[in-house]
Order: sequence, then C-alpha cells, then structure tokens
Amino acid sequence: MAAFVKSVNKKLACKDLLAYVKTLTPSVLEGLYNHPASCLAIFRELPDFAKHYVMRILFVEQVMVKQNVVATWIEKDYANEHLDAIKALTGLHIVHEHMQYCGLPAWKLNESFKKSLQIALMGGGNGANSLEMLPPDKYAKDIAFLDSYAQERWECILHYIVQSKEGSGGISREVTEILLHSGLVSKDGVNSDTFITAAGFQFLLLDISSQIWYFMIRYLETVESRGMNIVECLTFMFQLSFLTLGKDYSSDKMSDNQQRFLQHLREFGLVYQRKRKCQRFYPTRLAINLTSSTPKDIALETHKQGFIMVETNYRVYAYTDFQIWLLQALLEKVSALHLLRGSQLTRLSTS
Amino acid sequence: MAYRSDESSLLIVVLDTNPVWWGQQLSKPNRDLTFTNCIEELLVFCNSHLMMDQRNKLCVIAAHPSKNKFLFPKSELADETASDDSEIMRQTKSDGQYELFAKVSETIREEVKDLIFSDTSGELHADCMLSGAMSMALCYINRVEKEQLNKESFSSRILVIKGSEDHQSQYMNFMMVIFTAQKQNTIIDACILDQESSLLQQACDITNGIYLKIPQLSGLLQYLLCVFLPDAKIRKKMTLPTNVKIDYRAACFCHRNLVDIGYVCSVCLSS
Repeated sequence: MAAFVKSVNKKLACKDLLAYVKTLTPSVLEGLYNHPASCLAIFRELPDFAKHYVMRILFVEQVMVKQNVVATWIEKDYANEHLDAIKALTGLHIVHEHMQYCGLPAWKLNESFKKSLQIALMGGGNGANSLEMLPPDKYAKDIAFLDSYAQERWECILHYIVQSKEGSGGISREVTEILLHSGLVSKDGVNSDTFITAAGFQFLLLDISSQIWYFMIRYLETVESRGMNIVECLTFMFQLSFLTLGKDYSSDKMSDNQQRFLQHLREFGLVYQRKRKCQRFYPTRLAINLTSSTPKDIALETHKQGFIMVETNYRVYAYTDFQIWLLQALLEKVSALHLLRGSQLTRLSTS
Repeated sequence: MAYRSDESSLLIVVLDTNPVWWGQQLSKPNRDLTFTNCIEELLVFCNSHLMMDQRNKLCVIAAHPSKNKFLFPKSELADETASDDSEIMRQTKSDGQYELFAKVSETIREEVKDLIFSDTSGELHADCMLSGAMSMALCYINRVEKEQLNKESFSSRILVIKGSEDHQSQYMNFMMVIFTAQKQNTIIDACILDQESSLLQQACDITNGIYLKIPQLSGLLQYLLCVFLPDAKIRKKMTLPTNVKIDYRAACFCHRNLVDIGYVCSVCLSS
C-alpha cells in the first residue's frame, strides 16, 4: 500500500524551455545562437530582469559593461531577483564574464546571440536559414481543416496510449519508442503489447499544450540516438513556433535531418503536408508558440458539450459524441451507443 | 523560481509628426535626429516591446497638425486593400526577421508615407493635435479591454514622443485626458525631444509616468530601451529617472494664459 501511494505521489515532471536548454552542451548552444528564431524563443523565456539587461546592452558598441554598473540598474531590495537573472544568463552562456584592464569584472554579451537577436528584431540576415514563401497553393487548406487534422493525429497517439491492446493502428514504430522512453507506456516482455503506466494517466490529465510540450521534450532526448543533428532539429522547431497559422511554407532549403524531423512532426499533427514529396507544409495550431510557457488558448477542445453521470453503483454514463480517453483508460466499457457510453468502474479496470 | 510577470502589456506610442518641427531638424548643422531615423528607431523600440512577451500588444498613433492617424494597427477603413496586403505578405523578404515584426515595420512605414503625402493643405502650424491623439489612445485601450476574451489582466501605457511646442488652447482637453488616464490606471510617459512641456510634466506626475527630455538626440533608441521599455510592474524594481519640478499653474478658461492666482466659479469650477 505504501509503495502504491509513493508511486501515485510522484508527479509528472515536465521541464520548461529554459530548464531543457540548460541541459544542452555549450557547443550545441553556440550552434543554436546562430539562428534568430532560437535566440528569440530563448529570450522570451528569460526572467524579466535578464530580458531588460540584454535589451540595454544589445545595441551598445562598447563591448563590455562593468558588473557593478549593472548592479546599480535595480533597487537594492531586489538583489535576489538580480542574482537569479545573472545566473540564468551565465548558465545559458548568453553573457560571459571578463576581467577588464582596470581589474573590475565585467559582462560581455555573446556575439552570435547579439547578432542573431538583432536580425530577429530588424532583419538584414542572409536568409540562409529562413523558410520561403511559394506561389499560391491550388490545394490551399484553411484553418478549420488544419485544426481537425491536428486533432485527429494527436488523438491517434492518445488512443494508442490508452488502448494499445487494439494494435498500433496508424502509429509508427518511432512514436512507440518515444512513448516507451518517456515512461507513458511500458511493456511486459519484448514482443508483447504495451500498456499504460501511472505517468501515462497523469499525462492524459494535462491540457493539450502541456502534453505536446512534454512529448516533444522526450522526442528531442532521443534525437541523438537516431543519428539526427540536435541543433538542426531544435532550430527548425523554434522556427516553426514563430510561423503564422494558415500560411504555407516551403520545405525546399531544409537539410535531410530537418526533412526527417518534418515527417515526424507530420505524424504528431504539428504540421500538415499534402503528400510526402510535397514541397510545402502548413504549421497547425499545435505548433504555433510551442516553445513559450505562457498559457495558450488552444481552441481545439472547446465547443464540445456533454454530461457525465456517475452513479453510486459504480456505473458511469457519458452523454457525448466524442472520446474521453481518461474514462476509457479507467473504466470497463459496458455499452456504446451513438450518444451514450456506459461503463463500469471496477477494481480490475483501475489497476 | 522564475521571476516572470504574469501580465501582458499594451503600449501606445503617440508620435508627433509636425512637419514644421521635423523640417527644422533637417536644417540644423549637426542633424542629430532626422524624421527617417526617428521612425526607424521607433520601429526597433516597438518590436522590442513585442519581443518582451508573446502577449504584448502595440498601437502607434501619429499626431499631425491637421489630423491624427492610427499607424498600427491599420485602420479598418483600409480593408479594400486587403487583397494587396496578402500579396505583400507573400513577398515578405526572408531575411530572418520575425514575421510579426516585419508586418509591424512595413505597415507603419506605409502608413507614415500615406499620412505625409495626403497632407496637401499647405497650412503651417507649430503644434500638433496631441490631446486628440491621446483621446484616441484612451478609446483604443478601452476597446481592447472590452475585447479581451479570457479576462486576463493587462497594463496599459501611453508613450508620447514630442518635439514641437505646446499650445495652450489644448489645455482643457488635455486635463480631461489626464484625469481619464488616471482613472483607467493608464501610465503616461513623455519623451521630449526639444521644448519642455508643462502639460506633459503634469500628465506624467499624475499618472506615475516618466518624463524625460533626451539630452542627446542621436542616442534616442538607447534612451527608449533603457527608460521606457520596462512596464509598470518592473519599473518599481528598477532605478529610473525621477520627475523634476513641475509647473502646476492653471490656464485661464477664456484667454488660455497661464496664471499664478485666479478666481474659480463655484458652480462650474472654471477659472
């Protein structure tokens, strides 16, 4: 009993973007800072003071600014926040410490970060990494189509987590591997089917944007083992999060690694491509602002009404026409009519 | 623990586009700040504001002597050119600038050109319709507040960038604007390029804003980023310029002259 309680109390830990980026090596970070989109995404996640410090020295020609000068920029009562900001900036190698000739320590902004952030703000880059626009698409898709596509793909994955006994219809081997790696499902033997774990239950309880983010972090952890370049994948992910919903972009200039990444994203429902060989793709609502931690309103799950009734004889009736994955995982299905699903809560079904 | 604010921020920039004053700047010997440079630096500042937080919003209003105009977002009356707009977006240069920033920059540049070319009256005024522009700003804030779907709190502030002189005829309207802003908890900041303005000093003092006369015009962008970029919550924590001695003299209602001692009517409170 105590072991059961312990496992339930272990909450699903999900890193936000800064925590994830801090785990990367300095060389990967240096590679990331050459791209405007990554710098912009990371900048937005910094603590407030850190953002203002960067803005103040972004356009200054003088290379270094003394540390005691920076300390005078804020009121003395907020020293803790100041230290937290400096720690974030140095931890991410955005500023480096230098000793000036006068013997006083100073901060210097990372050159590639500075240049890329200036390009993100004002333009003027060489366009080597950016996504181009193509002539109008005769098979153009509107936002409602993209939303339904994204929802259908993501529900496929949720369906697999919940009911993997029905086989892996529509899910590739790679997704299964990621789910196993992240501990959302697990296997008994080598060739047996997968079943949902406690972590998987907590995953189902999250809102969709947290689910997507958790899943992407786990995916990125397996990128190196697949032989793909983490810098290219991360850069593309950051670029994707800043695109406009409803517009199509060209996948012409992307490297092989990025093309492979694009196909995976297509499977998760983050982008839509009409055919595999098609040169244009549409980002869906799940991909926009993926990396930001501010609350997003993903309107995929609104406008759905229904009722759930729980009776004291452990029968649960759901009056709705869409699938509720949590119920399916926890309950034993008794009847399924068009608008009514009846199920039973038993000891067996919750274990 | 991440020290990040939960509030988004709406910034409205009211830019003084008086052609007389800007024309005089061109004829100055050292040409510290031309109109083109000012617009470019303002664009970088506006994009920086949008960069700080994904939810931040922006509005730019031009205060011209003859009229006021929304530079961003584009006025809805211009919808007949919507199809041209999508063509412009298709040809957006792919040079690494974030799309939203590119859109803001292009829109503001187009609208400024439109404003200047459409001013064919030939009349010269030394001031601009500042109180009108600020009233438009307050109305916009009110509208955005009503349109907020999820009732998230946001703070709003108005930054006035002014070069031309004050005109006392605007005193009455200006005072009403200031008191409305105070009631709406909107901060009014003033970035003064040339002549001191007692009206704006009072506005900044009443609404807890910052009044700054720029010492070096060539460094306008750096002053904007250092002083005017932080929003209301962060300002309390940072060391920013405090307000100077303010000229609180009222203007007489009939002649619009500033008076030290005056009589106030007990019925309507006009002085």
